[in-house]
Amino acid sequence: MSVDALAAVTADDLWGITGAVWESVVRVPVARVDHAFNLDAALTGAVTIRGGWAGLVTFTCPRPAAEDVTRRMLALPDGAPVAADDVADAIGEITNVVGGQVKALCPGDNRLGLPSVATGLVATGTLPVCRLGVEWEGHVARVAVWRSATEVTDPEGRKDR
Amino acid sequence: MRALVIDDSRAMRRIVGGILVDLGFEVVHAGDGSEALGVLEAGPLPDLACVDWNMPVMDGLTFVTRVRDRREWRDVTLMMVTTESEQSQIVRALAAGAHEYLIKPFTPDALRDKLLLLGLLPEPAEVRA
Repeated sequence: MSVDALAAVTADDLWGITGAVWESVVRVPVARVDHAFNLDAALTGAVTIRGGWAGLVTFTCPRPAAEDVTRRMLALPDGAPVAADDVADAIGEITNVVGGQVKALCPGDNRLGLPSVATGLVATGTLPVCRLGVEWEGHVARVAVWRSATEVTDPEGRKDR
Repeated sequence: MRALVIDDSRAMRRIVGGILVDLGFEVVHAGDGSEALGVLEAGPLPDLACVDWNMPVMDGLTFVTRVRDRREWRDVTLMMVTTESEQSQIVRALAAGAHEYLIKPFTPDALRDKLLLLGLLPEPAEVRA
């Protein structure tokens, strides 16, 4: 893979994308932070990019943060219960929208996969390209772009060659 | 005005549908292109369909193509609302028969502006000094 391809997406690019997604989809002010990188027992949304560039975009946050995002996207009141399916849907859609914008920055003709959401952290078989933390009203999340080492593996273990 | 919002994400259907309701639309939903074709078959026809691209079962581009194959559905205005943002994708969708294209993420104002362009909203009254 060329140096240009490796540098296709920077953390600043990712912040621009994530900030816009937060403004329009989550609809709450968000700040870029550098401390959202220890997210044990978190949920991870992942979407693959395949084609001229192969990699993965992930969105990771603790379950309370995921539930907060879900309430905001579904316009539910603070503290309202949310179903697990709705949480997975909301995290998957954020991952999908960020992934689509990242795809547009990657070299070559690429396709975006459908998002998947699972408990856990980082996909195996990938190398980090860039990542950043975001914080809103006491919650943190991490957005990251990974490039395929030789193949892409999603959080549920399915492999795309 | 009646709108059909087609997206596999319930959260995104809620967001798009909420904006349309605020703009005065009656809104119905579908979770993929196949389900949306069923909505059209059942009627009444919507004035507008907001169509996501990447969906399971039937994607948005296939849905647009199927709708354009049916003369009786030619009055339905089709607007892609998708995270696919490359120029080549926009050209593909418009060539398939979509009337407009809105890239996620978008603001409520951006959606309203597209609907104004499509003539699906009344022009705002001029403000006089």
